Amino acid sequence: MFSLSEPWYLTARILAATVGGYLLSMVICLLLLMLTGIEGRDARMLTGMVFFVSYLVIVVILFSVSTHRRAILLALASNSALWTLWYFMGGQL
Amino acid sequence: MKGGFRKSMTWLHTWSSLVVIWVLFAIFLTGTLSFFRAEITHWMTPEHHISARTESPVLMATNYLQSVAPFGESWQISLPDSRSPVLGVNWLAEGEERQRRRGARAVIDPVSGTAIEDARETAGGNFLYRFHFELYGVPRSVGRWIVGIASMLMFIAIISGVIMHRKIFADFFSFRPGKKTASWVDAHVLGSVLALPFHIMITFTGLFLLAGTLLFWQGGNERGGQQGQNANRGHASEEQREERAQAEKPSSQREIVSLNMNAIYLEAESLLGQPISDITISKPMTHEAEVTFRGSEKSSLSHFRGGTPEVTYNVKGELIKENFPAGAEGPIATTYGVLRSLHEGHFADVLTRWLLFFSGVLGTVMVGSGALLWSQKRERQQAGKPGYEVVSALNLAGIAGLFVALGAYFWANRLVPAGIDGRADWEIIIFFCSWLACILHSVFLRQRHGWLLQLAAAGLMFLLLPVLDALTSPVGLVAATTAGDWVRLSFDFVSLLTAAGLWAAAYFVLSKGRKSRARRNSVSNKKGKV
Amino acid sequence: MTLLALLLIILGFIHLSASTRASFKVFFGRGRPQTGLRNWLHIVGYMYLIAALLPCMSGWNFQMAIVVWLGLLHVGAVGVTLMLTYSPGLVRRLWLWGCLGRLGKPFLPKASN
Repeated sequence: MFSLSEPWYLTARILAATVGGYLLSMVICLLLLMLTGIEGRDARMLTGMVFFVSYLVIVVILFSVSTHRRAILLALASNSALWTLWYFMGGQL
Repeated sequence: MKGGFRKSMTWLHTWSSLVVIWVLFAIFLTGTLSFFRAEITHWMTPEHHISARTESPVLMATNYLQSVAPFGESWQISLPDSRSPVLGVNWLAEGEERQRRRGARAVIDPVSGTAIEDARETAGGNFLYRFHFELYGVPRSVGRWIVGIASMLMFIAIISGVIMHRKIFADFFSFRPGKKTASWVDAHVLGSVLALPFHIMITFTGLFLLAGTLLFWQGGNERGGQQGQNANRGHASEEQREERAQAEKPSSQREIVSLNMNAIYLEAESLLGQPISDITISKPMTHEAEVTFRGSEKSSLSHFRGGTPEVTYNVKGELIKENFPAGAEGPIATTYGVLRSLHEGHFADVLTRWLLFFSGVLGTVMVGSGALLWSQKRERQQAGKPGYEVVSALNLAGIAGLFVALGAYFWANRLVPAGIDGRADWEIIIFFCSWLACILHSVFLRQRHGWLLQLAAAGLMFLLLPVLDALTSPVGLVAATTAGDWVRLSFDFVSLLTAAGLWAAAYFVLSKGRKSRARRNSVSNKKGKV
Repeated sequence: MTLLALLLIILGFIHLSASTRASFKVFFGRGRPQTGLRNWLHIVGYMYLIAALLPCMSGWNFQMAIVVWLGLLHVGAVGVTLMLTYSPGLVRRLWLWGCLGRLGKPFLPKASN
C-alpha cells in the first residue's frame, strides 16, 4: 500500500470511489429505510431517489480529498463503520 | 489530483465524461428524438398519412366497427390528436377473450371508410426510444447497465462541471465564434449551463428509471416499483371485467340498439373540459352498452401512466361514472411520479414537448461539444498519439457518424419495399450498417476530410428527406398542409433544420481547414510558441 | 400567453446579461459594471423572470406552469446569447424599449468610472 506507484494509486482510488462509493451509498439507503421504517413500493422509490444523489456526493468527496491514500482510507473506514452499524442493527439483505 | 479542489473536479469532469461520451451522445440524441416517438412513427408509416384528415371521425369509426365487429366485446376508438393525427380503432370480436392486449387494430381511411391495408411494418420511433435506454443487440439487462453507468458518469460530470467553474454566471451569455478553443468552450457552456436544470433533471430521473437494474439488491422488479401497482390495478380490473362479463352474459341480446353518439360526445367533451382522445365502448350495440370517454390531458404531473380523466355513459345517454383522478398518494409516490413523468414527458402538450425537445438538443450540443473540446485542447501536444487518435476517430464516428446513420434509417424507412419480411429489422440493420461504415471510415480515412465528408453526407440526407417524404407518401406535402398534418410537416421542418446545422458544421470545418493551412504556410516556424 | 412569457424572459435575461462584463459594452458603450448597478440590474432582471411565471400560471395548472416556465427559460437564455452574438442591434433596441432596469441607472450612487 505504501510503495505503490502513481498509476496504481490512482486506479485504487478510482476503484475506491466507484465500488466503495456504491457500497457506501447502498448501506446509507439501507440504514435510511431501517430508521424510517418505510417498506415496499415506497421504499423502492425512495432508494431510487436517494441512492444516486448520495453516490454522487460520495464520489465528489472521494475525489476532492487531497491525497490518494487518504481517499482510499476514507472509503474503507466509512464503509466498514456503516456496514458494521447496519449489521448490529439487525440488517439483512 | 494534487493542486486543490477545483483542479481535482476538473479532472473528474474530464475523465468521467470522456469514458462514455459517445454512448452519452447517442443516448442524448435518440432520447431527445424519443420525445416525439409517436410522431416519428407516424412519419414513418406513410400509408397512414391519408388518415390525417377525417371529418366526423366518431361516426366513421363506429360505422366501420359495426361492419367488422358487430356485437363485439368492446370497441375502442383513438381519435386523431396532436401526437398521432390518425383515426385508429381496436376491437374484440364477439365472444373473443381478452388475450392480446388490444385485440385487432386498424387505421381508418377517411375516403372509403375502411381500414388501410398493408401499411408498412416499421421500427419507427420505438427503435430510437428503446435504443436510448437499452441499446440494441445486447441483452436487455446489459444494455441497461451500460446506459445506467453512462448516466451515472454523466451525473458526476454535470455536477463536477458546475463545481469546477469559478464563476458560472460570468460568461453566461457569451458566445465567441471563430476563436478555436474559446468557441468550443463557449458552445459547451452554452449547451450545458443554460439548460442546467433540464440536464440535472433528465440525468437524475433517467438514473432512477433504471434503478430496477442498477440497484439489483433492493429486491425490486425490473420496473423499479411501478409494476406492483400496475399489476394490482390490472388484476382488479380484470376481475371486475370477468364479474361483469359473467353477470351480463345471459342477458345480452342480439338486438341492435343505436345510441346517439354525437350528443353524448359533445356533452362528455364539455364535462371533461378538454379534447377527447379515446372512446371505449363495451358491449356495443346492446342494451348494456357503456361508453367511456377519456380526455387527452393529465390533471396532475404526479401520474406517470393513466391519470387522464374519464366519464362513462350508459346507452340512454345518462352519466353513470366519472373519474377525475387525483395525484399519487403520499409524498414519496408524488415525488417519484412527478420526476418520472418529467423524464417521460407523458404529461406534455405540444408546447411543452417542443420545450423538452429543445432542451434535449441543448444537451446533445453539450455532449458533442464536450467531446470535441477534449481533442481540440490536446490537438497541439498530442496529435499522433494513440489515445488522441482513438478519441478523435470515435468523435467523428460517434457524432457525425450517428447523424449519417439516423439519416440512413429514415431513408431506409421509405426505400425498403413495404411488403418484405422482417421489414422493421431491415431498417435497423441499415441504421447500424451505415454507422459501422462511418466508424470504419473514421478509423482509416479521417485525415482526408473525414468530418467534411460525413457531415456533408448526413446534411444531404436530411436536406432531401422532405423531398423523399413528398415523393413516397400517398399524400403530397401541399395536401398535408391543407389537411393540417402538422406532425408530419414538423418532422420535415426539423429535418431541414438538422440539415442546415450539419451544413453549417461542414462549412465551419471547411473554413477552419483553409485557415489552418494558410497559417501553417505563413507561421510554420513559430508553430510551437503560438 | 406563451409569447408574453417568452418576451418577459428575454427582457429579464437582457438585464442579467447587461450586468456581465463581457456584454456591458453593448448597452452602456464603455466601462464595466459597478457593483451598485450590477445588483440593481440583477434585481430587475429576476423580477422580469418571476413576472413571466404569471402568464404561464394563467395558461396551465401550477405544476405544468413551472415546467413550461423552466422550458421557456432555456429558450430565452439561448435566444439572448445568440442575439448578443449575431444581432446586438436588436438587443440594444429591446433594451431601449422594454427594459425598465435602464431607468434606474441615474439614481444609483456613482462610483468613480
